[in-house]
Amino acid sequence: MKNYIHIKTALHAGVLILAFFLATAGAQAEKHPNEEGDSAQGAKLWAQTCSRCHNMRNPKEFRDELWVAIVTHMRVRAGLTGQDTRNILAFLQQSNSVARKSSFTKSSTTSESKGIAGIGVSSQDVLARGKTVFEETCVACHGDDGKGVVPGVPDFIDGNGVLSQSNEVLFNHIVNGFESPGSTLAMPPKGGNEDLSNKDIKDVIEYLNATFGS
Amino acid sequence: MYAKRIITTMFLVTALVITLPKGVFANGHDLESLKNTVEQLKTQLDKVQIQLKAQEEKTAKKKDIRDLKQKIEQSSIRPVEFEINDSIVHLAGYSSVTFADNDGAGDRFNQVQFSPIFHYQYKDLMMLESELEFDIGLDGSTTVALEYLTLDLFLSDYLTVIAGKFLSPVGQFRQNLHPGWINKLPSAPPGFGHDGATPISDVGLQLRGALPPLGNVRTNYSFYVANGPELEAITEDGEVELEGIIAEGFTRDADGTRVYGGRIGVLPIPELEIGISGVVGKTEVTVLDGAAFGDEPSRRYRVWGADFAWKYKGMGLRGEYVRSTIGEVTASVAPAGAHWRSWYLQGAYQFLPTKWEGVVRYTDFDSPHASEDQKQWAAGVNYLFSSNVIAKFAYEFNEGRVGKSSNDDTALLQMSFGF
Ligand code: HEC
Ligand code: HEC
Repeated sequence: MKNYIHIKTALHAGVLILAFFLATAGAQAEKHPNEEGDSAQGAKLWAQTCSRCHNMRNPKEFRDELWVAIVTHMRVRAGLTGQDTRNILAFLQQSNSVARKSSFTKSSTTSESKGIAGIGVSSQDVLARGKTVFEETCVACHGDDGKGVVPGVPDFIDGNGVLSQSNEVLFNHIVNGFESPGSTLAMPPKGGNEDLSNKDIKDVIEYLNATFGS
Repeated sequence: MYAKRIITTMFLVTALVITLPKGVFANGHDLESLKNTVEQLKTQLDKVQIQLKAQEEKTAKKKDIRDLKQKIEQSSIRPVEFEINDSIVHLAGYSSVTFADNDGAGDRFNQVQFSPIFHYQYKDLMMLESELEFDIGLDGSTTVALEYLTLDLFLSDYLTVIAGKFLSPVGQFRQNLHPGWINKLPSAPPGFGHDGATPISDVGLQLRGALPPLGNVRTNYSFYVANGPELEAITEDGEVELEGIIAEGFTRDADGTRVYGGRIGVLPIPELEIGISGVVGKTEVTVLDGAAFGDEPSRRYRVWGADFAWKYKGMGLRGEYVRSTIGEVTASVAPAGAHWRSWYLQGAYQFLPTKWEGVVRYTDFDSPHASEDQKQWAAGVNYLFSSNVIAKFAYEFNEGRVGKSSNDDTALLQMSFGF
């Protein structure tokens, strides 16, 4: 009986202290959920977090405002921090839009695609930059070893696989996003990182070919 | 522009070719008629040019097309009011239909379930979450239950205060795995369903959230205070024994003392979550042989559990252990204490890139009544039409529960949809 009362008091105190700490630590009530998400971080977190309890849901399944409610639901259910939630939301909202496709088509005039056909001589510089892009944006889903860490991601090492396609095809698929028929998951445009420039993507293709290509 | 020039040139050349042979052998009369012809041709040419100009004005120039494209692009960006989403309404939920063939009970479509979830959200401040559960009973009647209803107040990035009826944070199955599109098998593991062993839900206040990440290590927590469960007792062979814990959430607290519980989950690496949970408090018998029963003394109630989940690519391994204990109290109709314990281990593998998935689960359920102990092997094959549309086929090998249909082996077919 005495024991029980002690446990109870300790629990009370513990909960109160924790509550106070957490309520004051970086209190940001009423921050709009759409604010301040980092989609590159979000892609990584999404790949790591969102298949833990259930199958991964395709970013293209829901429009932006529905994702707001869903990630908020998941924030509570899975115990995510506010920032993790906003990052994942930024990634999902970026990966479900098709509008970005056309905004790319405009800037990629013929000279761009000529440029990509022209690559082949890869300096160490290019590879180093490509590696950085890969590690910041792509590794979340494709893995250090290029074999993929999320269901639905292709194995880059496979000699007859996706890397045997031409650089133009790869460039297009990475920039615009790509979903093969019946696939469980789509490759989000630019891997979900809107900040990548066409040059970043060329660099990362060089890196992919040099590192995983046959 | 080019088209116009080409047409004009062609026109002139043709005119020349037509008129040339005549002109070569021209005499005075011929010259006169030639003049006339040229005059005529001239007027005709003027007409053609005017027409061409009109035509040109109608056709778009390259620049126009580019401008137009830009306009379309701009207008395909959603109107501003779609960016206004301070308040959001969202409907989700799941549904499943099951067919069971039990060696003892026979075969039938034995379950139809519809569980809509309602979400109302105001900014990053408040969310109402509610799940209703509609089921069809054996006699065709429909039952409706408020599976959960909570008001979630987001106090900071690390703390959410939840008030209402919530799913028990003990372990994983109740909170995270029970919906049909999530559970890889058509049934709940014995001891983790509505069978009076582990907590289902409760009514109270909960603090929930995450600690700031330490490097790659993430920690989530939930602590709650709630009204707590009640007990059911039955008379068996002239003796009154505890039959089960009714832990589905009451808005009364029969013994006037709250229960306290929670869970801490740690992810040392992103692929692995390890959790421990517990509940302490008091409870009392309120049902005897199916009828309400009052004035019972309160007694000790304890739950503790541990769970893990590991996920890598198409592979998922998880397991859970929960033990509930009720203390003894001499003044009660059912003076003896009791404990329930159940654990399961489940492995699932999706044969990527196909849509087939295989799953095996072993459960060992230990009840205070030896006749209700149960050991079960369940094996299943699932076809994932998509992440949330799943057809399941499973076979359960049951042992224990002598004389009850749940002791017999059962084949199950289920269609599940999460939305
Ligand atoms: C801790 C386990 C867990 C994790 C991690 C998790 N989910 Fe869920 N998710 C659930 C459960 C449980 C449900 C069903 C909700 C219910 O039945 O109450 C669900 C439902 C959903 C739904 C259906 C719509 C809805 O709101 O119910 C979507 C979409 C979803 N989750 C996406 C995600 C995404 C995206 C992530 C990553 C941020 C994620 N989930 C992480 C447990 C989890
Ligand atoms: C959120 C997960 C995710 C991220 C991040 C991601 N990818 Fe992908 N990627 C995929 C998936 C899924 C596929 C397979 C899509 C399919 O086949 O339907 C894919 C396919 C590809 C393919 C093959 C395309 C083809 O033609 O078959 C390439 C190349 C590729 N990704 C490169 C990248 C690069 C480069 C990055 C980083 C800039 C990146 N990915 C980031 C998920 C991701």
